[in-house]
Amino acid sequence: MFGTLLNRLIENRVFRSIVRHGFPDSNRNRSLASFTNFFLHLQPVKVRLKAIEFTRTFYLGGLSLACLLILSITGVLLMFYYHPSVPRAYDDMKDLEFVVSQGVFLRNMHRWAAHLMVLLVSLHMIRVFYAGAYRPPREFNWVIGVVLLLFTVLLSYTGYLLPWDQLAYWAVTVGTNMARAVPAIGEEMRFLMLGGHTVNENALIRFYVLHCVALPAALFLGIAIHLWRVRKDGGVYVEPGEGGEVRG
Amino acid sequence: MLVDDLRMELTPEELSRRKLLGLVGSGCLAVFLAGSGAAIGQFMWPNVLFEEPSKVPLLRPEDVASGALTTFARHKVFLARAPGGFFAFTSVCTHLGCVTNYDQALGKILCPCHGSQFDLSGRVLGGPAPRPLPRLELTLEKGVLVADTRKFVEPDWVFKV
Repeated sequence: MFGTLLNRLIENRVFRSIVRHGFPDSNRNRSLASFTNFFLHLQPVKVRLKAIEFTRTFYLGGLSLACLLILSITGVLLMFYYHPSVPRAYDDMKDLEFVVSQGVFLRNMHRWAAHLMVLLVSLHMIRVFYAGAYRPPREFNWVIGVVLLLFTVLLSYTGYLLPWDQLAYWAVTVGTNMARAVPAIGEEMRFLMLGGHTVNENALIRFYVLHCVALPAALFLGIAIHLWRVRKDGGVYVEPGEGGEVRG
Repeated sequence: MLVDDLRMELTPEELSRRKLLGLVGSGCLAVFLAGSGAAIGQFMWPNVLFEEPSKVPLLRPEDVASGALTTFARHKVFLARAPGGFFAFTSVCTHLGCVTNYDQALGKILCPCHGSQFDLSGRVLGGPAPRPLPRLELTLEKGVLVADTRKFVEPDWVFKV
């Protein structure tokens, strides 16, 4: 009975127009499942068993991506209550902690996932370095990875200002004063970052837009290229001669 | 029919026209991108700022205490008496821009961020600060000492009243 019900559910024009291949019960259908699915198409159809051993990658890249997904979802939710203005920002942050239902959970998820992501991305970079996974033809993907690390740190830094508490205010004062130390254009760089001479309402809205729009967009684009190149270069790096069984 | 332009026969005239058009096209694109970049750069540079004015009124000369600093927290300025005059200097640390505090009991100026210490005329006593706290230009306007927080003067400059 269950079988006929399932058959009626999938043997119709609507379902067939969405999923255009059969069950992944043959190598061909399994390949099609990856090829024709938007969410799976970045993944390889086949992987080496050695490549998916936990101790090879410690899943650091994937866990970083998981953190980013958590940060995107919780971040968008926090945006519904947060006003990036000097009179409101700190109070909104406090409201999220004490007044809004689930607010403190979402804020802490966002905060801890952010710290964890910086840590995981750094560990991912160290893992890739010690595995020699930056070797040709993957040199440029290492460069993209460094850019992604930079975006991660910049997201962390711009998010730092948004609670608008004493820690945020002085951390950004100190940080932008470091930018001032750049020869010749340091003063102008700081002015452009803050939109003024001091950390104030212009700086808050600038950091907010960078944190919520510009940097995430750049990061997602960079990650798409990063993952696509990993896949095109044959998946997780396995040393030449190490071999390993290929499984679908 | 699909066009395979690599196999298409082109006369030398057509080829040179194609090159010219390609050059003009990429030139236009380059000008457009450079112009957009410059315009966005200009856009991000604010022309009007709603910040505190740089000239800040402090005290009447006769009200300035001697032997101690007067702190103007809002304006980030210290004011002091010198033999024969007055001097003002910024309370913004020369290390990384935190606001320093006058510690009357210790007779020092301390930065809360990274521990820089200054004496009561702004000279560095210790910590990471690379330079003394710069002195600010003082003027007398309607009987009140006015400091300009963007105009720095020599470290031994004293405003004589």
